[in-house]
Amino acid sequence: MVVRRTLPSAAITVTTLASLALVLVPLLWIVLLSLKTQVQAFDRTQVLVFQPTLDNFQRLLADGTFVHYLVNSVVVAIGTVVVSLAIGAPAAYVVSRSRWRRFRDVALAYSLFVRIVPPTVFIIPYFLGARLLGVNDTWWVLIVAYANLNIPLVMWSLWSFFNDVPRELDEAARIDGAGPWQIFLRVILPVAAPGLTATAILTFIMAWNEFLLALVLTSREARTLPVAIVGFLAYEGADWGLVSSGSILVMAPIVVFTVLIRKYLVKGLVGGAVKA
Amino acid sequence: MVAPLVAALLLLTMVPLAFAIGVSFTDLKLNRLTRWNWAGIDQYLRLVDDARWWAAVGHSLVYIVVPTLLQMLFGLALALLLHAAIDRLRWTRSLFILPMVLPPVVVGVLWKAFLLPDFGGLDYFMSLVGLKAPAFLETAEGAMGALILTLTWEWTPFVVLLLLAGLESLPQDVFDAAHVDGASATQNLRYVTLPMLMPTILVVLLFRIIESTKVFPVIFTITGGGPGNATENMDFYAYLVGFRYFDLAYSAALLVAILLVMAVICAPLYRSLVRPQTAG
Amino acid sequence: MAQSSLAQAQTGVPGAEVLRAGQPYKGTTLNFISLNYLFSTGLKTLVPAFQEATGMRVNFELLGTLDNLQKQQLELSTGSSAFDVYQIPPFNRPAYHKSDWLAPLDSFLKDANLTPAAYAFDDFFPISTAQGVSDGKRFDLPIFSATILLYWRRDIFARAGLTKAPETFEEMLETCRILKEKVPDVAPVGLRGAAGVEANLWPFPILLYAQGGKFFRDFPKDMRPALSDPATIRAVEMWATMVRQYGFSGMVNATHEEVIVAMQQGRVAMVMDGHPLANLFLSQDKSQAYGKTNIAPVPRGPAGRFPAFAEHGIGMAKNARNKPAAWEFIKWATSQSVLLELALRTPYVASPRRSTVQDTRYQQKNNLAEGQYLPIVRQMLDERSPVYTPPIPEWGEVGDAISNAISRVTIGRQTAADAMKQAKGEVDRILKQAGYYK
Repeated sequence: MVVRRTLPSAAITVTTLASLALVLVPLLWIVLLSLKTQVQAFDRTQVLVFQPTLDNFQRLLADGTFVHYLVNSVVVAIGTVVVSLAIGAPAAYVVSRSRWRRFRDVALAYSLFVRIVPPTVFIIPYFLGARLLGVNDTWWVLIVAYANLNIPLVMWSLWSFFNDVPRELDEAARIDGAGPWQIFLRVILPVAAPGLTATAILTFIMAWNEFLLALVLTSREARTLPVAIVGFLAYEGADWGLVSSGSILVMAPIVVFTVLIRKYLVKGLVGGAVKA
Repeated sequence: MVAPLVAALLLLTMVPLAFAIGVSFTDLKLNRLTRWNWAGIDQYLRLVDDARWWAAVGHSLVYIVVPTLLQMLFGLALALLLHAAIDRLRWTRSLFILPMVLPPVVVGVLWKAFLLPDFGGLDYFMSLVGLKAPAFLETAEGAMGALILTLTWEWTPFVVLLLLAGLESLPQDVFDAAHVDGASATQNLRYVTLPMLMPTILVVLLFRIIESTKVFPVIFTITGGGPGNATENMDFYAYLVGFRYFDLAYSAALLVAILLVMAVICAPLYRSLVRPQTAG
Repeated sequence: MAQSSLAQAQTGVPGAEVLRAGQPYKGTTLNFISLNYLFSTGLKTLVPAFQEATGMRVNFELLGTLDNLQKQQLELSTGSSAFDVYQIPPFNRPAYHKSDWLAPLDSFLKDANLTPAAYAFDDFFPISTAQGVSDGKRFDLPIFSATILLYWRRDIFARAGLTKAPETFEEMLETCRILKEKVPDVAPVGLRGAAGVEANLWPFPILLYAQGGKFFRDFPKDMRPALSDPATIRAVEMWATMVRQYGFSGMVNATHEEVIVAMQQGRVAMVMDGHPLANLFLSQDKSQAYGKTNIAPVPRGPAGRFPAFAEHGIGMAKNARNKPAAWEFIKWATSQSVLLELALRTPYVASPRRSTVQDTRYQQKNNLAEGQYLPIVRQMLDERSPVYTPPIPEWGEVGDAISNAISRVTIGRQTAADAMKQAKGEVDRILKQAGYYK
């Protein structure tokens, strides 16, 4: 509000667009790479003007393994969302409506704590545990691992959305004779639906993007896309065509989802920490 | 009903932690899982003398401080800019936040391709004005610089997003009053905007500090910790120790050390910044 | 010998002569994990024939150097059955053997029902098969015998007024200096500058030993590290100088991949790197170096010439589910006709079998660098250093400490003396813990 009145809007517009261009340049570069052959990629005269080809994408998809990894990513991400919300939402509700200050503080401190713990701590116990139970390199091991890391964050974010649901609605429902579960399902969830969706999408994004645990816990069967991409870097003379086309395919759903939930991104990310 | 699930959750987090702490007092190796002995505080003593570890700590501090500062600076600038931009440019916001939602591995790949010597994007654009891009990955400082650049690009949107939200929730009447009093733009900024935005700024700072150690995928793809260990941070080193050298016990000790360091850094921040906010 | 494989290669089912009749393992699926390199990528193209002949299915998991190592060791050390057949990285073989991760192959080899005479075990070069045995038991068979050569572009050298390759490492430094001065648009030398046991530490010992340096005081009797010896330090300094001052851009981080690309793009005047990669370095379609490159033995030093040698192996996991089936694949992959077929149809050249190397078609195909290639490869293999990479189980860790130290010197982070001192401390600790000395 402030600056608007004192600086010419043309200058602001130009600066904004210029900044956007700067930010997007690396992205643009990889898009260009994905449409070039290996020869074109190293050719200085064909940087911006060249004969584009969909060859890289074709190569990527022709070999059924990439599609296999794509399916893995989708299943794991959705599974993580379902499990995380199934446990995190009721938990967040309890924390939100709890009258004990201490309980809330502990729950939130715990959420923050999990954020601080280096994920490396979990690799080895999870790996050995999965091996013992025979679930190594399956969807489940990833879903459980991700849900475990995510639920505190889900709670953190849903807590603030639930807080926005006025307690009067709870009261009204209680007077009508509804039990806690019913209040949760019939009153809270519908009202907090946008926030719930945002949190679900954030969880999806986190599971989709995760690298370290997937690297260690999966092999051929359950490998997810981020790990597959890194594999292309390791080929004899990094196959930039595959790396870039793969990257674009991995990015695509994220970009779409982000645009969809942009309104709720802030609250979803930092929950009640920001009085915004 | 929720309680047993939450209990299982706690178990899944606490047990690995307890395992890690326990293992740090042994000499367990991944390729000799059944033959291990207690080793007292040997691993911790080793930590003290480990030059490579202390180098990694130094690098971690760099990753915590430098990109965070840059993110806050650029983030604030961009947030103010976007806040002032006309409504028709609102669509740009979704694009500005892209870097932070992309898979970190892809961010690493992006910048690796962009910073390639002789064939990368940066070199190309600089050649348009007759310059040559620095050979980032050939020196320790250059590699660090490349990572700092990448991390700043990746997370500034986070700062922008939150500060923007904060800016938009500031009460309009204070600005009106200042305007009536004839305040200039800079005065507005210094005496009105920033002070009111301060609580949000501090929270964002806290979050950035906490998350600033999660740089693993970027290091992995762009430098692999090199050249010659020059860009390893505490996390990466602990991972290598455990997974490349199979020294689980030492890795565990390093991880405990990392936890303590992070707790020490974050605890006071948490107490002073977040607690008052959640008291509502 | 060469005749029978000739016949096989022509009938289109390479390896058929060693397979068991009647498809006894039909329906079995095998999982093979390997480094993603010429042997395995080539084998993958031939495997449909194997699958059809035996009714088995083989899944290939091909990974980059570090990932391969990590994944393999993770699976093996936890006794998993996730993979049946493993490519054995040469520098980690002692660790694999000592840790008892592989299934012994002797019983399979000796069983006439499982292994027919056509397998021709004696056809392997003795130096290659010697590698796969520990404590009297055989754990792996050879698949990839590697040494290092000096490839040099005579046309670029001519531009600098040079007519021959350097004979010693001191000469090599001088040659680099002259090249840099006279031909500034091309980098004088291509080397694996990156840290890693399969990167800078693969060619480095040639220089180290030539200068009289060594890793240990007196291998294998006195295992204390000799890393701070003046000769060792001098070797590190020479290496660092070459990589830092005379390399192509980005060479401090170069693995073999970048060296190959540099050579192919004509950005480098000489390369000291693996002989197995010759068909990539000198590829007619892809390389600017084709037709312009000479081959020379690796330089020597005051202490002599110490050519490199390393052998990759193929073995079976201790807990492989269907060992006879796994053996069928291993046998096939190392048979005369398969190795010959690989060498004739793909850029693979590092066969450990005499029959491959003596086949006239092989010799014609690999008559690289105007006939210099094959004889010099033979010479390097014959003159190889008796102990090139110390065959200790701890080499993975020890080598890493040393190669990282060398890398730190290369990027100018530490002096050679300091870096070696730090490495010495780390190696000392590793060896003490392993019980070599107190």
